[in-house]
Amino acid sequence: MCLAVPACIVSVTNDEAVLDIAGIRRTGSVALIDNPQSGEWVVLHSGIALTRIDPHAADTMLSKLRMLGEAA
Amino acid sequence: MKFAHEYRDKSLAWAVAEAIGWRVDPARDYTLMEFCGGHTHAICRYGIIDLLPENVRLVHGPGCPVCVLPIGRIDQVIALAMQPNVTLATFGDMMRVPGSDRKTLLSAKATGADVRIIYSVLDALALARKTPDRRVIFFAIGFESTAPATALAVQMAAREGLRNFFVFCTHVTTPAAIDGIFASDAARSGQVKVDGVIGPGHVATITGSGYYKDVAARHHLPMVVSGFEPLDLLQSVLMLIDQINDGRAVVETQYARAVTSGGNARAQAMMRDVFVARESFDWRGFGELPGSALRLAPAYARYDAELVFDITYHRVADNPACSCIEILSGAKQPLDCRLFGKGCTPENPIGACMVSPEGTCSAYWQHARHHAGETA
Amino acid sequence: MTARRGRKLDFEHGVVELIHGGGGRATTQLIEELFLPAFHNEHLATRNDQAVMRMPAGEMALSTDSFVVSPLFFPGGDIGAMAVHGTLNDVAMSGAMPLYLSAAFILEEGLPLRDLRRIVQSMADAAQDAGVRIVTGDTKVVEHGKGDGVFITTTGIGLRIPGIAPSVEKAQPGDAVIVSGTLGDHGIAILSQREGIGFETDVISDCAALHHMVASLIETCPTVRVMRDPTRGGLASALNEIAEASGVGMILNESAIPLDPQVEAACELLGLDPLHIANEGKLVAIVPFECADDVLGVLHADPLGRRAALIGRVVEDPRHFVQIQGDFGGTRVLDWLAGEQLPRIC
Repeated sequence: MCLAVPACIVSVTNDEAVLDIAGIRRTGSVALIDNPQSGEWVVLHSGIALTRIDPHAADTMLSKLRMLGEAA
Repeated sequence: MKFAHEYRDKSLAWAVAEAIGWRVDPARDYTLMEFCGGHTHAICRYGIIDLLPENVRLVHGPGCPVCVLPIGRIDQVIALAMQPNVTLATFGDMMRVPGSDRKTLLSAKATGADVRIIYSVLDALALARKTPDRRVIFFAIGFESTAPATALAVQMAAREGLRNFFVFCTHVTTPAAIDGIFASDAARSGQVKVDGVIGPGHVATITGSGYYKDVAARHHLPMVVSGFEPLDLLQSVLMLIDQINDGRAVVETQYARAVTSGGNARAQAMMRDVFVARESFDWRGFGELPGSALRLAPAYARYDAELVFDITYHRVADNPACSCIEILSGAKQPLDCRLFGKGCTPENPIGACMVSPEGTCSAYWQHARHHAGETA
Repeated sequence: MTARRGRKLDFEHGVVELIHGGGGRATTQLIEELFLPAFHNEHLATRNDQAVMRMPAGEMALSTDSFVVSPLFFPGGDIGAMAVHGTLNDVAMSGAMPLYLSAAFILEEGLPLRDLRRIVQSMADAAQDAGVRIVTGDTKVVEHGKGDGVFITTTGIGLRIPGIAPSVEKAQPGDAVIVSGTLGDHGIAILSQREGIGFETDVISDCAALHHMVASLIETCPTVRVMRDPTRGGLASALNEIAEASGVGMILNESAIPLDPQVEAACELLGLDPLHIANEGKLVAIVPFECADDVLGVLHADPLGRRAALIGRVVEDPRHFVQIQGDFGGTRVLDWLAGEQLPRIC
């Protein structure tokens, strides 16, 4: 239910993609993703990409944490 | 590993922990329930508890779909696996969960049942295509994060006209689990006092964080949907502390890089097509919870293993000495169970809390036992 | 294709048949045409059922192991190389230099002779590179469906270096815990080939003979307390065995444990712990702390030990826990493996 990893889309063929997970590669389904593109990052759970990862939101969150760090 | 390692930064973690320390009210306790087996695992793995102030307590809720499946369902899947000409495809998590008489899928395999461990439901589909003379049954477990994959597989099977692929569907839904906690005996007798919930991040990628608005409002429960890295969890704790201090009770999203309020519309559409809600479903520990689980819609009845193989569910009571029930509702900790470490160990599990690596007792055994002065 | 007088074995298209294990002419043909040429030495050449050797004076170490790996061929090795290296390593861990091996085969009817030849040649190469001879053996054949292609049991004998006596119960509080390289490579290489779970990776099995590296280690640190090769059950099981036998605990530093990034990624993907995964070319050494730097130097100089690292210390602990100190400061218990590790979704 929870075990998922960030994966980068290497290439897409119909509903399947080659995904790169920190250097290892596996095919997975991108059938749940609208218009997946290579270079995008997704959350991969049990062979299926659940959603895209939003790099902007990721940066925002990390910035908030870093500000906490500076304030400390 | 991008989008993972950045959230394991030690000095940032300490900074957030320090902020938590400043923001807690020393005059009160905070009890936060983390819901998801993956959160339990991360908390233990990274020693998050050691970073939190003493008056912040984390309890482990029923977010482990392996743990909440009752014995009778294990019996059912073992019976399915023993049917002639059946290949039972399952996730590894389920192999050692004991059913009646301590039988497991692993022991069924040892006596000749064709049980295969797969990483993805798509592997089960591939098996069905490759062995058209075998009846391949996929043991579908998990919450709303795993159900879309099952839906996808069923749709693919239908499109391809596969006749030998079946699903034994035990998908359960998370808001019902939260309701279950508050409806439990333990909650009613005041043993469970949950001030806030660390919400399931991967479920919410599918359902959206808005999915929890009703249940959170119903119980006036602050909730923060959290990612799974240590910084995610710490930030979520901080957000919950702030809500609790302010007297707010809303659903917030910490895991914004993957979770939106609306969720994944495509996945939701697939699920609406393939599944209907069961009237009720028996949960280990909570008993029957209404509208808490899914089964295949009538249009897909030919893929429903329960219908096709006519092997029905029979309720089996848990071992009376087993405290999984109280542990799942957060009323007890593993050490409170008199079987923990004596009779119930990872090698010899009595209840699912010990079998599943995400089970509270198993996680505690692996990562926190030394706090208690137990021997190895 | 049946073995007949005058007709050579067809290694390209032939398969193992039941009569190859029957002890008769077909068995002899298999030995003569496959095993003898590959393992060639004066012991096998006598064609006796036993090898007779003059015993050098001193302590002998004897070890046996069975190999049932599937698939038979995997990135970085095969069952044959494993069967040689695994037993050599077990002998070497006692501080003994391996001399001779025996090899017993249980073959499944239908195994392509081409595959058998490849495995046998692999064993021959491994033994030759290691400077060890395979001097006696046995072959049986079981019916199709009753074996996984081939099972191999090897027994190895070696001569202990005088004065060197590492043993599992000798770890003492204060000692250094050293590993010779990255952990989990072999198990992940195998898993990457497994149907349903497979993935593409550059990780290959670390299958290797360690006795030369062990000899260097012993020369540098004759007071080495314990050496173990962490095969099944991984580092966690090896360290727990040592802790239990020696009546001590251990505290490891998580960030010091060498891991290949792709092994880490595979473990994250499948929900596995690299410290529970099998290695076939690594050792863990418990040495007096004052030797640690020298031991690391000697290991780093060996091609098999480039990533060697000091990963922790032995401590007093009546509970015999092996604990890991995480990056975040918390500690957790590293337990034995409870049954086989299974990929999970939760």
